[in-house]
Amino acid sequence: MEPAVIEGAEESAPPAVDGPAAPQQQVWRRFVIIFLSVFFGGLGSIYAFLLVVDPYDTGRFPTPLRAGVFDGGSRTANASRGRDPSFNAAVFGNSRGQLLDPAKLSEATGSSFVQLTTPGSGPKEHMTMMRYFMAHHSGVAAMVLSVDEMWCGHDPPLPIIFPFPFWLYRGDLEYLAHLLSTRAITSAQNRIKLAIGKVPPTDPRGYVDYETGRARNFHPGLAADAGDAIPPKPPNTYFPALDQLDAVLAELPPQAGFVIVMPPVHQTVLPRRGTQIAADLPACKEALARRVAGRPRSGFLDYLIDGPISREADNFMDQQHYRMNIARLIEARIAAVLDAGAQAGISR
Amino acid sequence: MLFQSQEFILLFLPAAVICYYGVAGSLAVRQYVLIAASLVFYGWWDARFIPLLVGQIGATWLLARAQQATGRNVFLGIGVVLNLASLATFKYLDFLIGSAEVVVGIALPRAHLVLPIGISFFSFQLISYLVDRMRNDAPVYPFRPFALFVLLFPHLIAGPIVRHNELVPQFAEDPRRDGMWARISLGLVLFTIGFAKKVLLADRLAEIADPLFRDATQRVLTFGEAWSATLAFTFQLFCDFSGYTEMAIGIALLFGLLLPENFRRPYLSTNLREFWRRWHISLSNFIRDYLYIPLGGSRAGPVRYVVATLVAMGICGLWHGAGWTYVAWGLWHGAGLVICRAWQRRNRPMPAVIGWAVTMAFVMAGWVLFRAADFHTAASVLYALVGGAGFGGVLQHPGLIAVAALVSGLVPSTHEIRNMRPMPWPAIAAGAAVLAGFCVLEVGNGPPLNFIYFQF
Repeated sequence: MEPAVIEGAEESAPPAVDGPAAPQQQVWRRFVIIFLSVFFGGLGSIYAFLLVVDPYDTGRFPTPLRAGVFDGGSRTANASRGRDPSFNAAVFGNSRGQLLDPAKLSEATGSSFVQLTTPGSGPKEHMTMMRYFMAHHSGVAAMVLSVDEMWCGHDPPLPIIFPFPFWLYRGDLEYLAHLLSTRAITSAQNRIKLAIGKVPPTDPRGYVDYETGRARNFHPGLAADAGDAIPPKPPNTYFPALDQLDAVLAELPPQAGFVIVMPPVHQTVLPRRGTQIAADLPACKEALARRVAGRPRSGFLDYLIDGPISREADNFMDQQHYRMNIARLIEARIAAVLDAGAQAGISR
Repeated sequence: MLFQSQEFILLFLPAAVICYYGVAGSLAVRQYVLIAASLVFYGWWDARFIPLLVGQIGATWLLARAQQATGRNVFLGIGVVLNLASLATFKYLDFLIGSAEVVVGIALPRAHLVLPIGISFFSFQLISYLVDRMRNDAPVYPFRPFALFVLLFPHLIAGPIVRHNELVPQFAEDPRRDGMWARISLGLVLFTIGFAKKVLLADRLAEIADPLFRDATQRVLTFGEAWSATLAFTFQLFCDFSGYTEMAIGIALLFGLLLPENFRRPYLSTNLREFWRRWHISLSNFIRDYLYIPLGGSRAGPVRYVVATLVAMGICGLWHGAGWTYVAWGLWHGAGLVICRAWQRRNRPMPAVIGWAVTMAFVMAGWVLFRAADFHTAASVLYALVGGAGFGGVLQHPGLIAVAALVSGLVPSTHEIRNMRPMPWPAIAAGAAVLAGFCVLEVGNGPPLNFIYFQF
């Protein structure tokens, strides 16, 4: 610090803000004009191009390109799938609902299912997708919602884990304010490649099989201490996500089936006695069941329990993701509820 | 509203510039336009704190007027205390409570106050004005230019810390005076340089440093990881902060105003004293003038010098953040400055290359302390840096780190560029516009959306 006392003295001198001599003013003026023309002209042209191409196939504005996207990321690709008129039923949730096969559900129920799950997402994203799907489909036949412990949280803003492009699924103004990006340009390029047949469309049903062809390396280890000696905590029965779900369900046609699934996890990661989530979970499940009570072709399927499925390591790819055999089992149960209209309430 | 956000660049800034030049003929109206724009800019962050900001400005001005009317400096002292109290309450209250908790061993309730953005900067500017009044080194300005000196949005949130006499006289100058197009050109180019440093380098370096420093709270990093984290943060911090400053100086030039320089290629320094003459210059000048010299500086004996340096740098550290790691970082540099001065007094100069290497090693070790979540994490990273956990792992993204290092060393500072009197070549204008446009598109991506989430 000390030398600056002397050597930094010039910092206090009044600043000079002079420009060059007057004859140079014209060339500097031209410099500014070129900068602004290239900057605003370039960005304006790109924006117009993106509006015409509709990079995410949202269908908000007319485009000469056919529907569909070449996009491996569900967060953006679901904008196209979620409005596809060939579907009238959908699966929502995160990676724990990803293995539910929409083709098999369609075959079993007669409805046309699309997968709109998003890995690493929570209630806020799920409800955004549900609203988006309903906004684009007047005759929704059924919706399946895969829920996990995040739905039993107590934080009203519904925190999100990973970034999610909510703007893609909301109003036009919000969409227009977020359109200008290199990601949109890349997606636009892919849309054009798709249009001229250079690339195939990404599966419009949105199904991602995370088991087939992948090495399974699951070593669950010892089950966690059951915590029997720990006194249970008093439950917190405030579930803001479920309150917000009521508003979403109010928009769902009364005849549409609605199935809530709480998928299984390996027993080593089941909520331990003495934890808050263990105390809250029964009340949360009851609250979930109440959301479908009395509704036709609806039910709550609870697999988040200590039972034969959760105790068998062969049923899981890792602690939280079940395998194909369990997916088929859940699909069959969903189909049974939607077809027969199971008794609403907790079904295990 | 961040400088690098699309709404700022494509809407707010063009609207503010057009309005400003539209009324440039009237001194009062163009100042009102800047004040209004600055309040909108600040309110965009959190409108709840506009009354605090305006209140501190108004109270400071009224107290200066009272001192002028009565000749009693006690009014200025009250102003200093008020501004310090505001800063202490909002920024340091929970830190002080937490520290007291450790001493008394009893759990104390926390205030959990939201930190008003920019409070460190505008409080320091108001304090510097009051102290200058005490020293008979500042007039009492009319309220409008005084308020604008603090509010001016290019420097309001993160500096440079501007002194009243550097800025207030400029407000009277017509922005359309000779050199207007050259100033606007320079402003556009400086803004683009800072914008690119922030978006293309700093934000990408953060993607290396952030997860590694987070991991370091849980485990010992490998040698390669520790160097990746430290180098990435070293250049991230410079590109981020100097980039922000360049954007601020560029924006101010669009309004015909010149802000002081804040960085002068600090990573080329060959000793620590030189580093502090090149790093965050406006803050180090403030610390020098309002802390170090009043504490005795270097002219009141060696003991006083050491105490003044350590206290000034310790407070400098605390200014950066309410935590003991920041204080320790400041003291680390204070001790380094004392040692550096003692070495220089021996008149046996170190070869420049060795001096540079020692300085960078010292500065980077300090950045580990600055960035780490706590002392334990800092010690763990430093341990890994010297090979304490072996020499495994590789340097992550060496190309990006190398580019950032080259930019840090080779790209001239704002005022160096200004003094070069660059030529108005159309290719530079077009190239800068393309770079700025690309950065706007990059910013539009927001955080990464499609990430690797295990195998699902």
